[in-house]
Amino acid sequence: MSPRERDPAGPGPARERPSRPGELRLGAQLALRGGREVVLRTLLTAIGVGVATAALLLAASLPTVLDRLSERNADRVDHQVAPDPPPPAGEDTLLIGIATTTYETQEIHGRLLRAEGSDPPLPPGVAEIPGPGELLLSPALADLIDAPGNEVLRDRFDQTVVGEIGPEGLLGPHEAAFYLGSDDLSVENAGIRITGFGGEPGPVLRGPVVLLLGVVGAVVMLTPVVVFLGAAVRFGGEQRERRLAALRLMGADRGAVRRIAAGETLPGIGLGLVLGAVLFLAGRPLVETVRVSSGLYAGDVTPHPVLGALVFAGVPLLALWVVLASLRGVVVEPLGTVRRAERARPKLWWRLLLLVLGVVLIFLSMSPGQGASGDGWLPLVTIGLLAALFGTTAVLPWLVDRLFGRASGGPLALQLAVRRLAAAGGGPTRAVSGIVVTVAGAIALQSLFVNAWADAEVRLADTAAEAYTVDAFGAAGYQVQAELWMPPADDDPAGALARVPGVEEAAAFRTVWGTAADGTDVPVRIADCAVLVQMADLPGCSAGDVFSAVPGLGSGDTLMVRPRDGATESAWTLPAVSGFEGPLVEHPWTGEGHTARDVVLATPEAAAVPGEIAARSTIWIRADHTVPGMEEGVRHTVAALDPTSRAHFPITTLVNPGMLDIRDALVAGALACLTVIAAGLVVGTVEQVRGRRRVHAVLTAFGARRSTLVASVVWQTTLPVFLGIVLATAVGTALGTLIQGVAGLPVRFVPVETLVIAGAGVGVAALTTLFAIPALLRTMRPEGLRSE
Amino acid sequence: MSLGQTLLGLLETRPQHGYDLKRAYDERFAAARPLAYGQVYATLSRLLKNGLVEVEAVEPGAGPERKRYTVTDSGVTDVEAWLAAPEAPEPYLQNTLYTKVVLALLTGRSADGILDVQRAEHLRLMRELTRRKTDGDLSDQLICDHALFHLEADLRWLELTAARLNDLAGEVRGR
Amino acid sequence: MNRPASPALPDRLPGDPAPPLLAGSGLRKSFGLTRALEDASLSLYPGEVVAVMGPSGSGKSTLLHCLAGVVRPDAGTIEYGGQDLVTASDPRLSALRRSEFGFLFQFGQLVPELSCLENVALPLRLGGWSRRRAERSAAEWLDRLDVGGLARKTPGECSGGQGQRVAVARALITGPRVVFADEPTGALDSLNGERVIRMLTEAARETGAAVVVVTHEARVAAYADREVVCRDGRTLDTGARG
Repeated sequence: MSPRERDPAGPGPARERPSRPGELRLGAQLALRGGREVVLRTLLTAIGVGVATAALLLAASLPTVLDRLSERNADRVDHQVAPDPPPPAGEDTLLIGIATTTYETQEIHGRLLRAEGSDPPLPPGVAEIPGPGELLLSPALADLIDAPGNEVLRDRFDQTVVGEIGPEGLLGPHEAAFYLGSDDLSVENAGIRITGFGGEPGPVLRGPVVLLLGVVGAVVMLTPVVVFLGAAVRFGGEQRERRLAALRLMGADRGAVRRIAAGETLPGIGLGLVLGAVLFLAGRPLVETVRVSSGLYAGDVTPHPVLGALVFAGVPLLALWVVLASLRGVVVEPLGTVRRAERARPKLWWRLLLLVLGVVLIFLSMSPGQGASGDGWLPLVTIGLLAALFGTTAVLPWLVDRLFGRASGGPLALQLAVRRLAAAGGGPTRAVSGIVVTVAGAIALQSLFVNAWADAEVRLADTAAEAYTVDAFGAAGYQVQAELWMPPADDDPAGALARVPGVEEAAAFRTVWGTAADGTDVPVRIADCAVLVQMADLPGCSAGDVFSAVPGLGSGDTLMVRPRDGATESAWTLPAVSGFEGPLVEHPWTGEGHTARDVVLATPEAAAVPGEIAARSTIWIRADHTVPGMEEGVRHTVAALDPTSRAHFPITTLVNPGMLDIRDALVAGALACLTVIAAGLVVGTVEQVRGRRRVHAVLTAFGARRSTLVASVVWQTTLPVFLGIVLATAVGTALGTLIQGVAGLPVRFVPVETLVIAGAGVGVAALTTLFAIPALLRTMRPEGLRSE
Repeated sequence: MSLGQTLLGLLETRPQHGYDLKRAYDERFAAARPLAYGQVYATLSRLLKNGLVEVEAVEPGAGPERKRYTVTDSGVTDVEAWLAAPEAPEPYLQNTLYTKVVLALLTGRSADGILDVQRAEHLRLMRELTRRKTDGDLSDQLICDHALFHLEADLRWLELTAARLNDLAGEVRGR
Repeated sequence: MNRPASPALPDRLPGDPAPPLLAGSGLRKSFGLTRALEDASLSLYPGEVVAVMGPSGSGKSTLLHCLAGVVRPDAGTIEYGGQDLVTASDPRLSALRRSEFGFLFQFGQLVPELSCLENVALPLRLGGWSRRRAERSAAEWLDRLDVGGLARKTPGECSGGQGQRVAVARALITGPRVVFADEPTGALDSLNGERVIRMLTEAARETGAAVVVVTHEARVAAYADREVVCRDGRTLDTGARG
């Protein structure tokens, strides 16, 4: 007998059980042919699955993003890989000068380039070394220069632009960078000779830590999506249950009913996967518009192949799990659905276990042995954090049961809302849980980072005036110091700077380094008497004087002087040297506490040889900080004198923009999660409101005002969000405090971010509730009174 | 159960011979117990005497079976009054009520009217019984309930019949 | 809380000069293409119990909804206490339903999430009573209808008959002048059905409320003082009252 002949599907009196795939197929057909509810549920499921897929694909791209970033960073490494000692100039050597500067708060990556032969190494993204005075710009810098209001910047980059730096030479699309050709760069001044670009990728975050961060990110991102999916697959639940009951009557067993129900969601899941992929691909170019530090190229966001495959396998399983979980409390019987009326009253003790475990883990991670030393604390603290968060959500049903089950008082609308929430059980609790996991997680992480931010944002002075006062040095009260490594383009740099609006006084001196016969290294500072007398307490000064108190150095001694380390040395025989005493006047940041015993001060008339070779200049500036544009003007002038220069201004706060980006990202992420959760809550509310059609019609008959019922629905969605946020704030702050406390860090709070998240969360909930109100108003029509 | 009014009602649909009348009656109202000829003729002669019917034509041949009867105006009035009057709401009224409904339909009258009149009468009694029940002791209640359930059942049967016959009215008239 | 019970008036004769409490006439109403009411009229006198009977689809529920100001008829007039309910504003109708009318339906009328006590207190709270006062009064009414023990239970935990008695309490708690009952016994067995209609009519007579009860059951209609028959959207007042 061939298997075909025994095929149960063949004609025969005995009706065989359909195959399992057959049941899934049947479910899928029901979903495709069903009424409005089914179509809507399929769409909602597709949206949930799509968002989850897109989010996870994004998370799965994290390793690639980090790889690409570190690769690009490594590929253009230059001075770090310069041979030491410098090799002789050759056909294949290139001189670079570091010309990185800032404009307002933005850093501009810059290099001076000078090829020493016909075959110089090329920086990534550059096809040809620009000739002298020729400029290559990154697109972001080109845009910045062209932007209105940036005339100062336009002046600073007034050279001929001959091309663009390609993407492979930039960290990201928003990096401002330039390469400027030079003809006077040399190893005697700011030049660094290199034979090639690129080095080993630096220490990238890799391995378990990244994996862990990825897992936490995925969990936190998925929580609201699961909440949304939970609401979506329950949409139109009543009809589905009736349909499933009919199938039971026709002989489907419970397992088959579950499979059919699962099958009903398959079209939604399939559609969702496609939607997710489309969302991901369509959204990828948007990555380039995100102006966080240098930004990312769309191509960087490519899912890791294994992780990507995991996403496409895992999301459908997750969705199916949600569907089956939604049927858990429901027994589909042939004569209609039985809802297990007696929900077991949540027990507290085991729910506390996870929470306790999390707290213990955090303690362990911060124990002195682990502490600041190893990397071990991060995994432990993350696992502990997750355990604590999910522990909290495990305690939630108990808490919600207590709160909503016992609540009394308040206006009628509130009473109706609270009772409806208590009756709905799972939905609002899931929403609150989702909020707690995401928002409390965000707040706790912020607490963890708050100390980093505290470092990232060091407050040096309250006001610019105070900063300028604090930083003042020297008798003339200079506050600003500019350092030039190349011979200035203007013979009188101080004069050039003094012409900048807001600059009251400027003084310049040059520096060379000398080595005495006994090997002592001494800086030699060369300036006119007018400047020299400001540097130290000199007994008197006239042209041709030299001052020093360096032991063993006197008239007739020879110093081997050089413009910088590694440069050619020349011999300088000191003329008559006058002694002096006391400390040197120095810029408070860069000063090294030099005294008369550490330095030689010389007038140019006495220092012909050093003056000849000196490349390095320092300019002291006293300026009025209240004059608008003064700092940019100084920066611009200094950069014009020497592109490799740097200017130090008194500042009020030191800001590390990277840290602020993390903070903003956390707030934005928390808000996105809240929106998804609130949307899920609204779907659930609409569903419940529709189920209460008759009750609402009856209440209307009794004369209930529209406003009462509308208010009750607003409460119904706002309350869980509100509760969730209150709880999340408490839990997040508690966890953050715990982490900070255990780590021995000063306990700081993040009130602003917390308030922003909390306020926006309630706003989002109230706003999304508006979508539920039309459904409510429909149920209030008297048609609801007519029996079926 | 009034045979006279029933025959009058049947005659109202069209003039008929006595024999045809018996057959029509048997067909519709007496499936189990056919009417005896004698009863038909005795009733017809009583109706004739009271002027409720008259002989329309005598066909060739002899004997009462050759006479064709037709209903008079006062005969129609009599049927009308009979149909309009509620039966005393006693148990086991089906035969009479059924006959009334069918005749009403046959003669193009509304069965609903009969139903309404009868329902009012039934309800009047039911209200009375309900009142007695609510004021009375347990045995009163039991007795009243018995009667109430019977009356309700009759009424429900009547409503069902009327609804069905209204649906089938066309068919009935066609017969 | 309740108005003193006015004497029951079951024996008022048609010729009585007292004006009707609620009078609807020439009522028409269509839902889409379905004509629910063609030409229906009903007058309700103070304190009387009127049964509206008729086959299903005859428009009797729609008639009730129109009279109660829940559904606005397409044509016709409804007068209650000198006001025209057809043209009255929605807030006015709502206020009337809150204070002067009570409602009883066949099923699904209790708010499932609220306890029986809270359900009964609901109309008073809609009328602005404090929760405490409303629930105290609700407790009295539950006792009066022999369902005091259900106060803390939810409707889901009650039997059908118990639920309807809770609903009767809710319909009467505001001391309404008219109670509208739409197949109040339709979902109950005969014993429970009778208990509910009896409690409704007795309590209504004690408080002087008039009752319009839509039913297709003669035994239920027998508790009324008279009946009005509805057929194909038309009413047929068989007149006999008493």
